[in-house]
Amino acid sequence: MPDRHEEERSEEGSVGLPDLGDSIDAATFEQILEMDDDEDEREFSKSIVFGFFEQAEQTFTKMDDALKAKDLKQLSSLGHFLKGSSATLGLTKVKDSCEKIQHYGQKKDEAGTEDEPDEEKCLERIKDSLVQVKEEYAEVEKVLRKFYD
Amino acid sequence: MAIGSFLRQKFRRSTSNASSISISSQDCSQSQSQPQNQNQHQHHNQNHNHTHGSRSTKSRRGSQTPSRRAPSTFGSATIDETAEKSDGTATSTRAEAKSLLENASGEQSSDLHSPSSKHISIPDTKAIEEADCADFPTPNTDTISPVAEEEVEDLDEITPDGNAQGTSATNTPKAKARPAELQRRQSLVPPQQTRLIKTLLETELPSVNRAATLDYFTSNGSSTISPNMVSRKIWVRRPGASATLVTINEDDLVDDVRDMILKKYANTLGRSFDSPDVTLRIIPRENQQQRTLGPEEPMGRTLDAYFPGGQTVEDALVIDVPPRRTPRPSPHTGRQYYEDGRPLESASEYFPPMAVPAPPSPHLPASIPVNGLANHNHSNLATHSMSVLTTGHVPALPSPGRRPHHPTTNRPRMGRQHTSSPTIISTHQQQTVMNNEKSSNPAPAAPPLPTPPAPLQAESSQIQRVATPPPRVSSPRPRTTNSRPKKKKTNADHPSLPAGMLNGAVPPINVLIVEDNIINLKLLEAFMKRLKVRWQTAMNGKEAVTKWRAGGFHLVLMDIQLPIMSGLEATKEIRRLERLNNIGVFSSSAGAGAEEGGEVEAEEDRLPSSVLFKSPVIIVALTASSLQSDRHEALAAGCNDFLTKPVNFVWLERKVMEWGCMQALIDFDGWRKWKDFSQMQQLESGEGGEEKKKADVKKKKGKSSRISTSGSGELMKVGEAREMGVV
Repeated sequence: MPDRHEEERSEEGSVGLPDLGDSIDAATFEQILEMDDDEDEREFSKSIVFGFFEQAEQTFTKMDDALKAKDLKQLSSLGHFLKGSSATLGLTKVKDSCEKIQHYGQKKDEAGTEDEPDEEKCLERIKDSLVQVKEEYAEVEKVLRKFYD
Repeated sequence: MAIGSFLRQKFRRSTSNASSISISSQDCSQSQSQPQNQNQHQHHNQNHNHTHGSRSTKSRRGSQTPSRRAPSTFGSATIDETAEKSDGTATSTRAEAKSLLENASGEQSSDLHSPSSKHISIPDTKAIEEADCADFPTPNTDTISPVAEEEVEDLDEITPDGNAQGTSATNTPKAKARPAELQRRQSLVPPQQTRLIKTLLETELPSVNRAATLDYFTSNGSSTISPNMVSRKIWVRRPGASATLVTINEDDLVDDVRDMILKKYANTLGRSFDSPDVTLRIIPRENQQQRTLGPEEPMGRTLDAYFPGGQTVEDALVIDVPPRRTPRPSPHTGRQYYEDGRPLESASEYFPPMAVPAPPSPHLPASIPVNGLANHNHSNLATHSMSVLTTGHVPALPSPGRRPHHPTTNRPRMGRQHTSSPTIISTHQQQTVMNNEKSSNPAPAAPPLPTPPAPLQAESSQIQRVATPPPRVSSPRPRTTNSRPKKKKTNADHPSLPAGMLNGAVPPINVLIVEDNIINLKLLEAFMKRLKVRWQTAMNGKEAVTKWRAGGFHLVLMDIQLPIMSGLEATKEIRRLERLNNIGVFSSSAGAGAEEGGEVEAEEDRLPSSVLFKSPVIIVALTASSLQSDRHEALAAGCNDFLTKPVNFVWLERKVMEWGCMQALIDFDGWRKWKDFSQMQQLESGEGGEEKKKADVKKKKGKSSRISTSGSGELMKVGEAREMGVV
């Protein structure tokens, strides 16, 4: 892998993987970058990553709506949805927060193991998690956009 | 008894005496360093005629004497003053006294060591010596004893002297400094040692030690020593057996003694009894009523009360354990009984009658369902023979009269110890095997093809129908070299693969990717592309089932949470359809009823069933959930395997490889068809194909022809395939 980093740096002249920060799981993201090799360099991963940006922003909007509508079920499923893709990209923090939203939406606790029957409490927690996940997303977005610039 | 073994004994124990253990050990380490210090002072301040051993004994005793009295008789300051003063004025006898006091108060102003620690060390030094003496009554004892007596006299003298000096010295200005130091003595004591200090200061122990069989030193006035630090040995025996000594501590309760006994009888009793099971019986000398000791009774004192002159071998406590075969009628007859029964019991634990857990035993089949389910988690084979023997599953008991008692006395143990027996395990395995066959077992299940020509057409048409990947060999090479080694390694793990498969590529399986998240889908697609396998995608469970019905898939990568129809539901549906169509079931063994039952529904899927559904499809669940329960759920629904997101591509490749190879083996002729077909395509498409490629293809053909004898005859191939299926 190290030679790959150098290669990327030389080719792209941009930040290498180490600069991606701790909110991105390097190993997971790297294997996506590796997929570029079958296509033109970086094109594939870029499309994936930017596709994710789009998806995340849409999902956040939907989450906001669902939160207003107090639709826990919808929130849970949206959380799960974004969890899937953020996990695939190795965006650990975003993934974890999405998982929390998913669990809260199921009227469960953070870890999804114990029931939390109080809907208002769940909504409150989702609200907090949503703020958090947006922050986390903004962080990785910045890093990734810089990476692909 | 040597202090080392004393400590070892203590450390082995897991009783409430833990705190005293730590004290002892600390003291011990201190006592190693302190005596030197002590001796220095002694050399410095006075001259002794005594041997080294006796001197330290003395200093120890001295330290105890004043300190014991300190709270009551003297003011602490007084003692110190006394010592101070005596520094200069000590006579030869008083020098001793002084040193004693000095040790007691730790008054040396130059002493860097905490006086309190010295205090603690001193008794221990003594303990060591005492212990040595006790264990090795060598000639030394003779010399020490007189000295000890002498010292007793000394002490008698000291007391008035100390008093006199103390009173006379109260006016000295130094008196002010002293109390502080004494205060410090207290405060410096680590918490766990306060108990010991208290003992030293306050205990006015009755001479319980005197009766102890080997406690020769008790006459030394060691009553101030913490009982924790004094061990004694008591005689115990099992009914009808010879007595043995067990080391206990002076203040041990009967309960502690039981622990020690179990250690002593580690094999016979320790293996099958817990210490609360054990009871101790004391048989007084004068034919009084013998009595079972309660766990809370202090061992030492009880013994002393019963055997005033010390316990002898004849007075050994009798160890009783709960009867296993009959309730004990009365202590007396019980004893008689034990004398016969005891050896039997212990013998049976060591030399189990081998025939006992015989599978055909009538008990076992009845208990299989319950136990197999309940206990198969911790199926511990090692304990099996024991558990059967110690729990009531011995079928043949000598006397019928005993039998009725048996289950009741042993009931508590039965549930816990009756773990799986070999029979249970074997049935369990059989069950799982059957499950595998039903749901997932990809064993060579290809039903013999009805007639060669018909399936052939179906087969080739099917192959053309299925979306084929871009020509496999024409992909850009540079990067694939990276992944090549991996693939080859993976292949090396499957040495039984047909030679033609080892081309450095994943077997040409057809994968259905079921993912609702476009990002993940794109990635998986790209990955499949890279692995050069055929794939199709579905965005929800319903679509997945529909696509699967078209047939020809070997592997399904199934996301679990999907819209419309979840991955689990889709999996269940697929499995249901497979069952209805007897996919993967040998036609001979397939129940015709099931086939007929699902006929209407099956009509739709069964078009190419014999060819396209050679075996149940492998479903690998993909889940981003970290919950174990989700995985179990997935497996329960009929998934064969699962991967956690983010999917590690190395893992995914392995899975595709593993399952793909398996499927390719099952669908061998289908695979070869495809292979030939794709090769044809390659040849056609690569008109200007490099020589290498052609050579490659030739090699492949050569390999496959090695297996098939004739590479091109379709009929021959089908015949072979049939053979393969049969084999």
